[in-house]
Amino acid sequence: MHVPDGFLGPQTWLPAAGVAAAAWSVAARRVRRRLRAETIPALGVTAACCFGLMLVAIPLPAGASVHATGVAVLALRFGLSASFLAISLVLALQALLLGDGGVTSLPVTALALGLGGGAAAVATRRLLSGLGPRAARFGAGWTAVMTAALLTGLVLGLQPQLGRDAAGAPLYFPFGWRTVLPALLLPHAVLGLIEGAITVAALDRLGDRSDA
Amino acid sequence: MSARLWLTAYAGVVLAASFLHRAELLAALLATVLLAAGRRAPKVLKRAALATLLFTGVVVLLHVTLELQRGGDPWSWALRTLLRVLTMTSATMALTLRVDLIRLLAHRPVLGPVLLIAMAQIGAVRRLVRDTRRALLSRSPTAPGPRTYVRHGGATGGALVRRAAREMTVVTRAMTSRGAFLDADPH
Repeated sequence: MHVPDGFLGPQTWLPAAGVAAAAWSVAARRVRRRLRAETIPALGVTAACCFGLMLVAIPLPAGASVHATGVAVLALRFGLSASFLAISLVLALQALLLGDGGVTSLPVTALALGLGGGAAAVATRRLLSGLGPRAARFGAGWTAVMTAALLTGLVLGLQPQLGRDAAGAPLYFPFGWRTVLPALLLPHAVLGLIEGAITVAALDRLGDRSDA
Repeated sequence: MSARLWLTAYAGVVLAASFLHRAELLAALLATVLLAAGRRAPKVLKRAALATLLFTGVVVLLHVTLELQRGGDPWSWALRTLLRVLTMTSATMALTLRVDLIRLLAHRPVLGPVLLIAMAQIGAVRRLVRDTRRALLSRSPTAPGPRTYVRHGGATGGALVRRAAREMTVVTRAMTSRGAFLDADPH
């Protein structure tokens, strides 16, 4: 879901930057109100924790590997606002220092993964709480990844409709929803199982906010 | 050139690359970015190409293949996309070489310290993840299976989150002892 610069049109990333800025502002205020003096260390350390969770790779056949996003673990442990800010900061550092994901696509990725994925994790945790904590946490991990993939796919698939040149070629990302949604959702449905398993394993040791 | 001027120039390049669609103009913009990177231009271009290779390569190859099957001309789109991606990513790489982000944000009351703590912690976290992975491999007589990797991933994730919760207290105390937060409004 690390979309490089150049695939999203300004009709997408400029409004997304506005929405993300508003969401970052609200999240920062909520975190500051809740954590007061600990806000700054909490954000810095949580961001580093999120970076570390993204380094936890599970090997796949043929030498490939997938990594956790940690969004469900963070959202269930630290709350949606803190996890959204931490994931946004990590995505920004990855884009600026490693070129992994673009700066212009950062607002979309942060909203999809940090806010959409985190909110889906918290909502699923609540919805499935009757099935027991492990099933609810597994569902939260799977739903977080699928929601982020779905939102990213919707934004990418919108690009061909936003502009075409005189010859009819797309100006930015070339594939519509019929191509991009299955291409993103099918692999992420499998990745979500791993994310769900890691969420269960991590929160089994830690407990989540609902246990506190 | 000051950091603010570099940032303004960066924003200008990103906006221009987003709105320009002619390959020769995008090529000129890329050349300008590389000129601005100076002696580090080859390194900037190589890093930008490597960082975007996987996503861009897959999308471009797929689109070119599909368009050729349909009898269309995908080359102008492919050239424009490659130039745009390289220009924007090279601009980001050049910016981070020219501008010290921590120094730039040093006077921001929240963002500066957050960035400093995060970057300092990230080094330690990377080492921890690498060490736990090595520990798993060195203690496994045969190659670990997927279940072992998932359990190990969960344990590493749990350790990272526990460590984060502990570090928050330590860093907060360290910052408070150095005078941070003392003038903060309690309300």
